[in-house]
Amino acid sequence: MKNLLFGLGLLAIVFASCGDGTPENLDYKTELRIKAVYDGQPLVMFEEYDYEDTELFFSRLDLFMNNIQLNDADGGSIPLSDIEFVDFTENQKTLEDANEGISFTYNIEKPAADLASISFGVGVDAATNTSLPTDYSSDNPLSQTGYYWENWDSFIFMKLQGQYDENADGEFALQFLFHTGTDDQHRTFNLPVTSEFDTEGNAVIELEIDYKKMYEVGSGYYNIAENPVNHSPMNPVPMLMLSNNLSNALTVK
Amino acid sequence: MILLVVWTSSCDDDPPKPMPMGVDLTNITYDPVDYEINPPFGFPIFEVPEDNLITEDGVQLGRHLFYDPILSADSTMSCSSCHLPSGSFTDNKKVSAGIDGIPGKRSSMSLMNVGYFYTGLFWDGRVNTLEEQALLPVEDPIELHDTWQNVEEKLKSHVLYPEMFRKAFGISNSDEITKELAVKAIAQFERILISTGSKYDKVVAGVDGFSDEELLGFDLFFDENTDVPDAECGHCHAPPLFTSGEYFNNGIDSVSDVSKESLLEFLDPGLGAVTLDTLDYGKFRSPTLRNVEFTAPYMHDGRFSTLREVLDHYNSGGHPARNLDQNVKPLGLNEEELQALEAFIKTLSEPEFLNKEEYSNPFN
Repeated sequence: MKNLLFGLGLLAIVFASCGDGTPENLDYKTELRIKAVYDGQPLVMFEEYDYEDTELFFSRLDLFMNNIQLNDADGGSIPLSDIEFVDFTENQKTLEDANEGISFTYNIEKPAADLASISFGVGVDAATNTSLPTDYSSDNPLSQTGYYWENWDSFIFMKLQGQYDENADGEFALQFLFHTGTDDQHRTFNLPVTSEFDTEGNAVIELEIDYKKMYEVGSGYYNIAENPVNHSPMNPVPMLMLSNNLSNALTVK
Repeated sequence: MILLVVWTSSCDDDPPKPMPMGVDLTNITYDPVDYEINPPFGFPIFEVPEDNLITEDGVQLGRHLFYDPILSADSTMSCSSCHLPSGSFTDNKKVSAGIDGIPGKRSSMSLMNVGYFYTGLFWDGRVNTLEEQALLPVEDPIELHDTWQNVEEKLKSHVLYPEMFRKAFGISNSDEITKELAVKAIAQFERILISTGSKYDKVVAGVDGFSDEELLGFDLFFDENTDVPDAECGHCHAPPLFTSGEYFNNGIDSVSDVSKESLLEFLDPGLGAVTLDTLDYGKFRSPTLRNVEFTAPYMHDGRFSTLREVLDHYNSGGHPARNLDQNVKPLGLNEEELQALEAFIKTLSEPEFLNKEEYSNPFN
């Protein structure tokens, strides 16, 4: 008899917690999954990819994303993060990892309406760019002094580095290095999303950055061999190319 | 009810706590006084573990332990044997040797500003904190070659240390001296080794100026001037600590080709031995350049005797490898530019740091 009553009690608790399938009291979670791809394929660091008539590989790809927020269909916004450091260098070294991408998970309140878009910046905004790495504790990605350039008075927004097989002989003798930064290269995006929250309050938003598209110039591609290194605002052309090409390279899946 | 019966019936069976065999220290006052750190302007936020705040007595205990050969099996070597103030807390040797005269494979790193190094310690980043780091040399067979059990016994029975541990950590009995407390004290001492008084710092503060040669070196170091070549130094040796705390293959060793597999040819895998990632083979932590003119020889294995040799290496472009850092490439610097670079790097020196009383050997 006691067992029957106990069992009925348990059933009562279980049924009481089931509503219409939409969790009211659970945390909502948004997973932002970001992948580096090359010409649509998962980008594996240090692996070779075609570039014009030869090949290259990337040894460092990373960027800051700032002011990441979700926007709902009623015009409301849900802030996700002030700053994230997206480190493909360490997180896409194998095909398996490249297929997974990098995930950032955020607990949020239940959105008032369906999701409409995600907005964020690449780099840091002008106000943040007046700060210094030493203003931040060591667990903040902005504390990295290797991502601040003294003579720019700016954080480094993106790093794209690797080796280019200039002579098509397998030697990959040419080092290339591009860093972007300074206020005029901060880019903001507001990209439509179709993701929905499931019955457990989870939603996944997938972003891709196609690094081949980052080097598009007109109907062709940037001549890496001609100017393989650029990290100076005195010669902003390559930096501007990269910053401007983000609008084509970034997509929501 | 059943639980209550079980609980009460089990109490009588608890084994009695052993009576401490050591010395009662409760007659000694425990009144910790914070050690005042004046964070240097422009330096990173000074972070201290919550369970190891810096106190005057903690620093004194750590300073004594740092210089005391009691930490070694034959009482001939201490931490300071490889980290001497005169070498900005290096030993100015190619590689260090332990009590048995067996040479290690790496050069001792400077401890200057080490309290600010939050991205890993040792050349390969194998530990994260100073407390973790201090545990290792005592039991390393090619360093102090002792056991912590033995060291603890020596400390407990020492004429000085029980009282010092009492004052530093409030222990009640000498039996409570542990390796954990010992390394905490050493870490407290190491955290106060701060240098910010170089000529560079004075120039940045506006109270001094560079010579023409030093200014040229500054421009080269930071790629500041489009009229001079980029020496690319500031990418890996970023101010204010003049290390970015990252790990790089800087091209000092050669492998057979630029394949990923060839990275396994590096004799010293560096970071790769810690992460077990082939792509990290041959990467080492970029050291601080502050006081670097006093820390020769250079590189993880001390292969370069002079700063000029280091600069010649970087000017040459290093050896190709899959994971060679892109800032390492032929620089095209001429003689004047190399000398200017060296002159600027020497402005990062604070000679006074080498002779500060509060860092010196208390047994002298």
